Amino acid sequence: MRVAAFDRAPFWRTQFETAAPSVGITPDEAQLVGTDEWESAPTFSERERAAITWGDRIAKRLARRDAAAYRVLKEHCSEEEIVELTAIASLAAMADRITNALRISPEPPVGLTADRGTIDAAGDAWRRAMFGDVATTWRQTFGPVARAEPAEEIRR
Amino acid sequence: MNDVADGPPPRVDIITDDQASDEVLAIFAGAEELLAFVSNYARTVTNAPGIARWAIPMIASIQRGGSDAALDPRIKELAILRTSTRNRCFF
Repeated sequence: MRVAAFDRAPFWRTQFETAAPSVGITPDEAQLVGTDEWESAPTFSERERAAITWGDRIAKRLARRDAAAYRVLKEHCSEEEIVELTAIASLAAMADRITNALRISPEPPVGLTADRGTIDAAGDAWRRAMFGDVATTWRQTFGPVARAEPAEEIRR
Repeated sequence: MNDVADGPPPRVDIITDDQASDEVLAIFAGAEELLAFVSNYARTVTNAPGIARWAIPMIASIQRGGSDAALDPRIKELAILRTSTRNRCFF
């Protein structure tokens, strides 16, 4: 909360108050992630520390060049997990930019239950059905893009 | 609807349930089901329903994940917290 107040970051506060507790992150741990002290905090495993560092590098746009952070991440995560982690951090960055640019107000804390972590079977079926619909209709939604032969100087 | 007393007002109005079209209500129902509540972020993005109908399921899939998720929710939330902190997300 101190970091959120200092940064005037209500979106971060929403994550802090609503999402984090629902997946077993304590207020103290969330506070640590908001500072630079997570790097030495024993509450986080090596794997979690590698993930937090990767999110940090993506936010700072340093991930492309930070070989050390990637090497540590690779020690703890599969390639599938790395792709998922990169997607989640990039999604958070996108949400941050949209909420900042449009000044979207945060909601009051929502009391989520601890089982909120993963989508349950019913939700999973709904999600798959929705994506199934998207997957079968997206080509019709957008239509084909006409391709032109590249100019001679571009081909060379 | 602005909960930030000392901040500037939102630039785009959120869409309430009363104002929502059937298409937008379906997106809200999905957000309620998969993300547990309809956030002001979702209510703002649905001003462009053609984007929202793709974005909200994508957010649910990446942020929460279902049986096909590779990572556990805690580690993903830690990465979100760190990314948002570094981005100094004001809203």
